[in-house]
Amino acid sequence: MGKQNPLFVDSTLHPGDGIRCLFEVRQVLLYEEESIYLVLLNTDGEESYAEMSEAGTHYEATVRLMHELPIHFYFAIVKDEKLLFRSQIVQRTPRYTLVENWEPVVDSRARILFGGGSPGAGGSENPESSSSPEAMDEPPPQQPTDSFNWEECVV
Amino acid sequence: MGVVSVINQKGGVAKTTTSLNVASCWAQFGHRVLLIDLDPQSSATKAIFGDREFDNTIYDVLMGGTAIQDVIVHSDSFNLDVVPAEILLSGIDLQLAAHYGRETVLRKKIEPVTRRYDAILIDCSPSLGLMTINALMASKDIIIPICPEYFSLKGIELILETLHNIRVGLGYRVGVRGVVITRFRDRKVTREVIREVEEKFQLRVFNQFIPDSIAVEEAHHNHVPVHDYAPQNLAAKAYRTLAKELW
Ligand SMILES: Nc1ncnc2c1ncn2[C@@H]1O[C@H](COP(=O)(O)OP(=O)(O)OP(=O)(O)O)[C@@H](O)[C@H]1O
Ligand SMILES: [Mg+2]
Repeated sequence: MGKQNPLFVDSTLHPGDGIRCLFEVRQVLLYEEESIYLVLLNTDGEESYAEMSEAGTHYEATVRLMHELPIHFYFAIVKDEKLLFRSQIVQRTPRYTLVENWEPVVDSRARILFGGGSPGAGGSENPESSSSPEAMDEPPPQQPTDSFNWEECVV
Repeated sequence: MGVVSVINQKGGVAKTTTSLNVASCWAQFGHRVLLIDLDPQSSATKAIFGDREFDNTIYDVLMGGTAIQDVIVHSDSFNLDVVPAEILLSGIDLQLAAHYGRETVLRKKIEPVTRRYDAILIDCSPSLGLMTINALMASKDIIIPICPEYFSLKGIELILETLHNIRVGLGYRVGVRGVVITRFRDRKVTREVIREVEEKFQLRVFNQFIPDSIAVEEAHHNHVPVHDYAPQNLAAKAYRTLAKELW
């Protein structure tokens, strides 16, 4: 992504204006009963997530964000409420679409419990759920030892 | 059919030739066709009307209050409605740069006439500046003409990147109808390029190639479509078949 060519910035929007941003993750292969989530982090490192749905050759989810205000996020593959794999946290500047390739983090902590609660409904495809995925506001996972501390992961 | 742009930022790949001849074939088939010349070089305008001067052109539509209906000129020889261009267009990118909604000026301006036509074809200039972005934002699909050679693929890559940037930054998805092989000569590189276009870029290459023929150039100079200038010519027949395939 990097440098932004002003030709491709919507001249009718200001940074901070609300937009519906379509996230696409490519090159991901899910096995039975696995699902992939988009996990957004706010400035306090709190996460909120949206389940991504299959769309042909990729998975996608739409969330409400603020135009051109950088965000942090990653993708997580979950099965039976357990986190199987996750990608590196990346920072991007949202415009209308964000396209990423799936690249799992290869580390020993990759297979950690997703947490006690169910992954939640997510704010996908819902323009009404303003200020992004509030619907995704799930309490942080409550697992004693091998719990997943989202804050630790901020890069 | 809607609005279709003929685009390639590489010069001389027969964008104008393809726009003119395909548009006039469509018109001959009985469709209502509007051709918009969006190139400051005004090659399409000149090929159709010669040295005729126009008070108002696409420039006045984009920059001023002139309605598109007031600049449309009919060409009897091509059997088409045409929106002519002029050299002033070359400065328009700068003039429009600070405009609110600068990327959708053309789309808004042609809106009042879109329902009058079965197809609107836009002949783009060999650049990927703001005018071409306007053409893309006004189009449902694009057609990419290429003269197969080693650098053709780089050009296609750039066009696809532009479409991606438009989708990401402007939230609009433009379709690629396919690639037209122009000035065809059967060489090794031609076949390699076609294979790459299909396999690497997953784009459709239209079956009908347009052969190289002097009649194409001569038709330009006589301000008539090639199928009228030399109906039996291979390039003329090819354009007619291509026009059917493209419809
Ligand atoms: N099939 C053909 N056989 C012979 N000459 C051709 C053929 N197609 C196009 N030409 C000639 O090639 C030249 C370039 O064609 P054209 O102007 O259509 O390209 P273009 O892509 O529109 O160029 P530009 O990028 O400058 O707008 C013209 O002189 C035209 O007459
Ligand atoms: Mg041209």
